[in-house]
Amino acid sequence: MREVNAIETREQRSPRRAADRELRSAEFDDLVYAHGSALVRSLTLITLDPGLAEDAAQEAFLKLYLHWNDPAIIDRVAWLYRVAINRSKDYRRAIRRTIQLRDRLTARADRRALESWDPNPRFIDLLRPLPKRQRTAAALFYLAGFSTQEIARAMDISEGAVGSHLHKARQALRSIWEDE
Amino acid sequence: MDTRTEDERLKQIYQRNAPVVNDDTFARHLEEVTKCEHPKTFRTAHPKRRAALAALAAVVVLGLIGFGIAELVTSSGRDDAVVVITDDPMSPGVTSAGTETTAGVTDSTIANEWTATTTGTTLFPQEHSFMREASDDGYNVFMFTKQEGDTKVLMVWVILDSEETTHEATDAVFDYMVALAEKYDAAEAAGGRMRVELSDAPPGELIKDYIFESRDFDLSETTTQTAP
Repeated sequence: MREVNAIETREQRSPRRAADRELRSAEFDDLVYAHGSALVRSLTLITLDPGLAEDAAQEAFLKLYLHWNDPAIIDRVAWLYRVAINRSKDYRRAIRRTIQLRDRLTARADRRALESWDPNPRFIDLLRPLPKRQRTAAALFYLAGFSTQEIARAMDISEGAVGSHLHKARQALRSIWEDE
Repeated sequence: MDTRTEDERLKQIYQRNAPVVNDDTFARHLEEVTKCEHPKTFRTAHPKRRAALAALAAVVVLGLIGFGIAELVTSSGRDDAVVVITDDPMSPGVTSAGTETTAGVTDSTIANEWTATTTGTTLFPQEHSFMREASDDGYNVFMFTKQEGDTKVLMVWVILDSEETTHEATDAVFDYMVALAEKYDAAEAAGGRMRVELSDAPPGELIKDYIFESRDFDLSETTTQTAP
């Protein structure tokens, strides 16, 4: 008797799970279109490595997809950026390996979303010596359009620290006007 | 220029210098990835096969352990000793309970000195001199004692090249080994009984599988030969 009930419960649960998954996919797609490009662009100007930026962004999105219903994730966008930024810091090799493995599994390789990147070398020369946190705060503020509060959440630091990083980045990048 | 103006200019600069990203390609890629949300590994795709392989591996490991223990028990009851004579460098031999083992002899290149390493047990007192002379004359010789009923026999395995397997050559080898045994009193090892076996085993093969001629000698009564 218990066995029959168990089967019924599984069957009843199955359509709901399918519906959940469909809803998650739709919401996830919206998020990808809303923030995918901005995330890759921001990460590129943080890491100065477009390949790594795209890989880290995909990794972060995949992780978000897998943790979509995690109640601990309150602000999905901030969480996404935080994961992507962290992934692009110390996990270069791990990310490469994961991506290569995933590409083999999905029979997909050498298809990059990043179409072109032709930055002003002077701008890159100014960005390169900046500490990673200053680069991150500046990219999120000037490119992703985040407020200092959103940056603080994404970087997991205080708003005051964000203001300080932005101030220093601004000072360092000021000389770019001379070349513009 | 005030901060607000600077920020506006920097926003423009950032936009200009950021890469161009194709939203559709990025989204399509993610869609492909999320379709295989949990990429199947061997662990998840074939749980039964994995369990069977694990069980098989466990059986093999247990079998090997059992075989090792059986071999250890068997060898611990034997009173055999092994002597190795070779030009090749060898690590010191290991002596287990009840066995006599002498290590290989290493030809030192420093100041052309001869050095011999040993665990302390030798088959007969002048064994190292025997080995040294045989090695100097280009013979690879393995020596050990073997118990045959109540009798102990000094076994001498000699590795020969295939060119040396003519009758004249093998006769010469037997004569040489007997001469060495007499010279260095090898009779003490096994009460005078010595068996010389010739093998043309290629490298990596078992010597005993390639023994092509064997003769017994009684060193206590000068030389007696026995046909293989």
